[in-house]
Amino acid sequence: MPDELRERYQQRRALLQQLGGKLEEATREALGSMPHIDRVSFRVKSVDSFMAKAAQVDSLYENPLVEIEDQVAGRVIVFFLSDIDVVLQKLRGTFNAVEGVRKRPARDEEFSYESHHLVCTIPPHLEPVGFRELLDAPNTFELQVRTIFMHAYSEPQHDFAYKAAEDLPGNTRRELAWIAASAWGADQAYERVLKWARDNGHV
Amino acid sequence: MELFRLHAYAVVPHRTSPTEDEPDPVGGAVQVSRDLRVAIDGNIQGARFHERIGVDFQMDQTTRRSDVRELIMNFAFGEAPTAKAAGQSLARRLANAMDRRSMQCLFIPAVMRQRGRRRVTLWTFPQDRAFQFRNADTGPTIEVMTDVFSQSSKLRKAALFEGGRSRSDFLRGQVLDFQASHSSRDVADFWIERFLACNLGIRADTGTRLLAKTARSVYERSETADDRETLHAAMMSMRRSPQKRVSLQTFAVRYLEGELRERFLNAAPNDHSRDSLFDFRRDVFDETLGFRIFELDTGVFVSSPLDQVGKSVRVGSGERRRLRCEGDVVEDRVRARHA
Repeated sequence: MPDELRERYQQRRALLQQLGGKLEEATREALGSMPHIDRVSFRVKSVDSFMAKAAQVDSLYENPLVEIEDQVAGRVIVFFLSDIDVVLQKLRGTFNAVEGVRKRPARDEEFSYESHHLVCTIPPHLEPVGFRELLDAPNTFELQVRTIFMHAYSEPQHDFAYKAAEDLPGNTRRELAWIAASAWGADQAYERVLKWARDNGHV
Repeated sequence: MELFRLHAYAVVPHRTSPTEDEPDPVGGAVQVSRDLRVAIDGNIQGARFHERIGVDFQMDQTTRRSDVRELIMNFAFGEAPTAKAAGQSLARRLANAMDRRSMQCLFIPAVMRQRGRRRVTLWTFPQDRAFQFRNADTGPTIEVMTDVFSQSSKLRKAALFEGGRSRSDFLRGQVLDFQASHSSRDVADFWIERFLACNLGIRADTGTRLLAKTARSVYERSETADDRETLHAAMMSMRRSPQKRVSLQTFAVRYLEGELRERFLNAAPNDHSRDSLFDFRRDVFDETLGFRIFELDTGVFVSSPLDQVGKSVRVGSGERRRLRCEGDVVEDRVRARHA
């Protein structure tokens, strides 16, 4: 069964790549006239990553080919905190969002991963030829919107092979929290600088 | 797929009703006869849903819920009592979405199944009047029938949703609604927005950009000045049109003819993008395609807002198209090259 799932996902990756390209183009067009966009990028989930997610004990995916929603996922990275809402509004005007979540620590005194996630339906006009004919094609894709500093905290951690913060020694967890707090502080400080620049006619 | 559940309700419009105590729609589960099965199959095939309007449920983005989606999934996957309650709720919702200008209608939710998948179709057939002719031994008779519902009326509506029982399924569907681009928003929004609580599958910004991009690509590949002028006129007409709900297909049929229309439609990315309706937004269109740029034989470039062509910027017709432009200079810049 896992072999069959792997093969079916592998077979559809070319179509997902095409879809990702079209979604990226549509996202760039939507944000075309906006300042402060650092980058827009889309990726297709690797086969290993897809299989790992499908096999998660707590995942309860009955049909991972449909239910894993980040098979195609995009990311928009912006300069300032105040850009996030503007970008989200543009994206909601472009795609039909079914879910919007602001990821942040559960408690105010904690510092860790922060980002805004949208789950959107795949617009029919962006489906590549042959996509509709796929059995169990996904209906959704994921979009993340975050600042450069939020990204700076989260991205390097992909290179560390641990599953949950609980796996790390206490001091390492504390180091990561310090990086997250620094990123949070830098975003706040940049927002104040931006406000000063706006108030004084420097932007 | 096998048709395994079909309900029918007589629905009387409630919306804008002066009293709150309107009776609930009457109806419920119907025994599926062979004739009925054939009629439903025929309606599904005749509806050609794959060519129809794509819609998405309006989801609460925090809870990821839509009441209508929930009812439809309960109707599709629930046991008989759950399905009955869902069918009744959908019929009541339809009555509340219809105002008193609408006729009584027959509402038929139906479910087909294949293993874990379900295909739900929702139909409304408006009340009609018909003659029934009989040639009896005593001579021919004609009976006037008023309790019939038309399967071919342009006022009939349908929707199709399909998928498994997961949070990622039943988010999108296809809709048959000949009034969805009606100039009255009240009429246009009845089925898709008020009853189904859906958005058009192509958002306004996206659809407008798609139209602008398609027009630009055909414009740039056009070899004759006539084609370019026709496209320019079409774009200007669309910007001014009070009818804002369009598709690439309706734009082409309304403003283009012959081979130019064909080329425009062929430039659409896929069938769905040709047929799906969206709400045109002039500001987004102008942002995407607000200027027309002319290069003259003297090396001069003239960049004009679309709506100034034919006014302060005039382009002659004929073999040598001369451009005349007039206006007061309000800014003067120097650049390395044409922008």
